[in-house]
Parts: sequence; structure tokens; C-alpha cells
Amino acid sequence: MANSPLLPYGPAELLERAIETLRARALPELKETPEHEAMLAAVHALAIAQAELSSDPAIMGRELAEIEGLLGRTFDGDAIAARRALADAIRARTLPSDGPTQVRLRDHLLKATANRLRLTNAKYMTRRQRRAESSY
Amino acid sequence: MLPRGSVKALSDFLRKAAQAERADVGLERALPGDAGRAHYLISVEFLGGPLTGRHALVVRGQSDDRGSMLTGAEEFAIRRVAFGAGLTTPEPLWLEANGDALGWPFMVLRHAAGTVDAAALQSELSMEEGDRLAYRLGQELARLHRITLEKAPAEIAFLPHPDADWARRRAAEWHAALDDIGTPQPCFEWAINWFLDHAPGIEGFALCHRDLRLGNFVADGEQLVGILDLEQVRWSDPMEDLGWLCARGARHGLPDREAGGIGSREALYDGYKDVAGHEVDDRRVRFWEIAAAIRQGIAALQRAARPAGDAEQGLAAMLTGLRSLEAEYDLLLEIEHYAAEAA
Repeated sequence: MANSPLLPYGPAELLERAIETLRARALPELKETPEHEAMLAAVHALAIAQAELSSDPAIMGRELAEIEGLLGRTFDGDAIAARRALADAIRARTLPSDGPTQVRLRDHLLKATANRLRLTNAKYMTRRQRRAESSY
Repeated sequence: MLPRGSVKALSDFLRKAAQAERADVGLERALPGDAGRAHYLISVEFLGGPLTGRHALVVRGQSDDRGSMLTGAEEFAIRRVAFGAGLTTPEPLWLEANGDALGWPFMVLRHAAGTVDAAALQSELSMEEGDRLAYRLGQELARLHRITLEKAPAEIAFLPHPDADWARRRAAEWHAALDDIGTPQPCFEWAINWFLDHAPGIEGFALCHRDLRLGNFVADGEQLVGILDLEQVRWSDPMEDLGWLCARGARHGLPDREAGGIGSREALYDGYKDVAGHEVDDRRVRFWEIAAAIRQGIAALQRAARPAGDAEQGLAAMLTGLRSLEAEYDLLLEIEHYAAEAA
């Protein structure tokens, strides 16, 4: 079944316009008022939602495949269960301690964190003056 | 604000505590502080007794958050010990531990006038001024660290004594926190393993602030006026305080000012050495910077997991929780950097 939207504008585009409007009109008006911080937080939250809606939907699938590779088992598409199993395995130190596995684990964690941080605060990575990790 | 009846009760308490004939209390304003804590700036005119004259004082209640906090009496004892050791911190004057006067326990401190606002201080201070302030903070930490576990004052005997198993205990606290949060956190689990594998042996435990950063001290320009927020004080490795201050998450958008977003790491270390009489162990500070990122990240997740009062608080908590990703990113890069430096 085709995944076509009911409305002529998608949620990401609507959010983008809303954010632009709030940044242009509401934030300058509220400067130096007690409401400014709350409005700033609200705009930031909308921007995160917009970034997530615009992100590559295949990322979670690729993360899942990588965790399955690390743990040597499948999770039937349940990414949360896979992350939980990975967290448990790390705490229990049941992953092989050989160099290549540990490098794969660290690379996976770095990519998974970067994929999320890119949505919430991409500038943070830029500020660290570090080449952005290649996405999945 | 304090109701009128409370002002009268507060005046009576202060009059007796200051051995004065009279204490006229004026409420100046509520001070910013952590959630649920009454915190007021008052102006008091004492007539008679050793404190005759006008004083700016702070009435500080007890926090509602009983998580890892100290009781009011414990916090007051720590403040007395730290002030007595020469730490630049508002003088703790009196404790009302029973709640008889106002219906809730409180302590009275001298007021430290200046700014605690991180953004204001950062925009105000030039690099040179920031270095001078960082130097002062280094001196202050070394002064606090002169209080050692070996010669622990009896007044703070309630503080848990660390032992050779201190790192495992710390990791167990983090694991318990992650279990309470509920969402899987593979990166923090990985970092806790690293912490356990690299924790140094600590030869000399000292009294550590464990939360000295922008926002937790008062400054007037480059002049340090007072170190605040001593609720996290515990026995620890003295280098933990330097690592906490130098951690990326403490730099408030000025990463190049490695000492807490204020000044250079060198200035902080120099100030520390000036009072301590020995060099700072930079490698160990770097270890504690990584530990700080674990602590900050988990604290952000804990904040997000707590019930929020209203929509605005709920949104702020969610955004704080997402900031744990910055701590994760720091951990992944800093641990690699730490290993590379050892190679």
C-alpha cells in the first residue's frame, strides 16, 4: 500500500514553517521576559521532532542488524529489545573481549550516539571539531 | 514569600541566636535554588550583642529532594568545617534543625553578593580575567582538600568512609540508577566498565566538593566571592574535583576554556599547586573528566525520568534527558583519547 499523506503538506514541512514563524516572531518579542526560556525550549523540542521526521527511516534497521551481528542472535525487528540485550551483555561482560569485537562495539556505540545527537544537537559534534562520523 | 507570622518567628530566632536585644528582619527576595528548597535573602538590623548592625543573610531551607542529599544538620556541619579550613564560602551562622521556629528546618548563612549566572560571567570575563578566576578556584579546591580522611574532623564523622572498593561502589550506584531509569543505555554501561577497569588506587582521600562548576560559586567579575552548594561533599580523590570542573559538560559552550568554561586548565592547575604545594596529576584529572561525563549523563537521564509538575517542567526534563547524548559522545571520544595518550 502506498504511504501517501492525507494532507498536501507533510508533518516535517509543517513543523519547519511553525519553527521559522516562532523564531521570527515569538522569540524576539519574548526576549528579556520570563517566558523566553520556555519558548526557547518549545522551539528546540519542535526542531528535534522535525529533525527526527526528516531523518533516514532505515537507520534503526541498520543499528538493529549491527547489534544482531555483535550478539549473534536476532530480535525480530525489535530494536529496543536489541539495545537492552546489548546493554545487558556489556554489563555482564559476555561479549568477546578480543580486539576486533571491542572495536566493532565501540564503532557501533559511536554511530548510534552520533545518529541521535545529530537530531538533538548537531552543533555539539561540530563544536568538538571532529569529523562527523559516517552515518549508517 | 515568607508569611508575616514567619517573619516575626524568624526575628525571634535571630535575636536569640545573635544574643541581640532586637532583630529587625526585612525580606529582600527569594533566591534561585534547587526545587522545593526555601531560599531567601534577608536584611537584618541587630541591636545589641556581638553582631550589632545591619547584615545581609540567607535563610536556607532543606531540599525536598532527599535522594543523595545530606540532612540540614549534616550540610551545616560540612559548611562549618569547610569555612573553618579557610574555604571562601558564605559563613554558616546558625542552624534551626527542628522546624520549631518556622515549621521547617533551616540554616542561616552570610550572603555572598555577586553573580552566579554562568552566561553572564562567561560573557563578562576576558581570557586573562577568566584565568585569574580559574587560578582562584584551583586555590580554593586545594584549601578544601587539606581536610583529609586521615585527620577527619569529628563533626563530619557521618560522611561514609571510602575504602579500596570505592570504584565498585560507585559503579554499583550508577548501575542501580540505570536500572531505575529503565531504558537501555549501552553506552553508559560500556563507560562504567571502562571506569572500573581504569580506576586508580587512591592513597589519600580528601574532602571534595564534587559539584564545583559555573553556577555553584559567586563571583564579582574575576573576584571569587563564595563557593556554594556543598550538598555533594564527600571523601574522594582530590583530583575528582579538578576533573569535574574540567569536564566538557561543565564548560557551558566555551570548550576552549578547559577549566569549567572560565579559564585555562594551566591557570587552574597553577592555583591548585600554589596552595597544595605539589603538581596536579593531569592523567588522573583526565580519568575523572571521563567519570564526570558518566555522572552527568546519568543525572540527566534521572532528571528526565522523574515525574514533572507541569507541561513546561516536563518539556525541560525531556530536553535535559536528551543532553545525556552529549555526555555519551564525550565519553566515546574522551575514552579513545585517554587510551591514545597512554599508547
